[in-house]
Amino acid sequence: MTFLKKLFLILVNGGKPLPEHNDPTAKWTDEELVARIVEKRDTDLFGKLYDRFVKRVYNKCYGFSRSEAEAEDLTQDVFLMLFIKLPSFKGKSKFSTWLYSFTYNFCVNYVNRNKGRKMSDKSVQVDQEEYRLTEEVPDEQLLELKAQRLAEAMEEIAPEDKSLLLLKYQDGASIKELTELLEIGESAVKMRLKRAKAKLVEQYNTLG
Amino acid sequence: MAEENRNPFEELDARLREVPPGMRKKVMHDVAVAKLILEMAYLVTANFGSMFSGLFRTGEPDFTDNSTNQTT
Repeated sequence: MTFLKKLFLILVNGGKPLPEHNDPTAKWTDEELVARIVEKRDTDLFGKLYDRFVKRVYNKCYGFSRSEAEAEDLTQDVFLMLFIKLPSFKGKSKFSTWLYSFTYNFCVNYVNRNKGRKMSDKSVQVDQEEYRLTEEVPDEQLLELKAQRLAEAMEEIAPEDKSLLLLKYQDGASIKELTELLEIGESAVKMRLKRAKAKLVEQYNTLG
Repeated sequence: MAEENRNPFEELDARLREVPPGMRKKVMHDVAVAKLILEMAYLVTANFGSMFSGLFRTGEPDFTDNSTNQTT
């Protein structure tokens, strides 16, 4: 579709964007859309990417901030940084997984900065907790948890653990994708997951 | 069967809140400003780069010998 034809259709449509069936970008995968945005730093196409993901990103930010105003600010910052950092997406994981990881990083930094504490402040020393880490929490046990109590338990654990668990069990990131996203080895990812699961189940049981 | 497939983590995300309506405009404005700054920065740094490379590329073989003599 030529530019003039597109402009004409927009004008005829009363200034509203083209309906989905006339929009060629609707057929593009997320990765194709990102590649085209990066190619020319195209802000119009970035708007399409925004439309695809804003609801999920906003709700993820809300999950960490617990206030609509903070979630709005966080979402705005996430998308602004996303526009700048988009060329660093190398396609080693699904774009959605990469974006959610990017969002969690942003939220974790925000929560830690806001509470005036470093990442490790709230976590308990490893040697004190070592005995608990020998118990592996199987995924089946994790999936039997009740959603309401799980939500409360997630609020109580460290934001780093929360983001890792959400990436794995809500966003469906594989271990391989997590190694790419976190830039650590497979065994380190598994160990972090094991610890996060143990902390979550412990918190879950204390709420019961 | 459905009970076996349930994932409480996905249930947490079941009811998504609506995004504030004015946010798209703000984000796209921020992005437009960021693009402008990035492109301006690119222009400036690109010019400095070529300027410096032009400044140091003399193509005269005797120049290095003279500078060596001056330092010693």
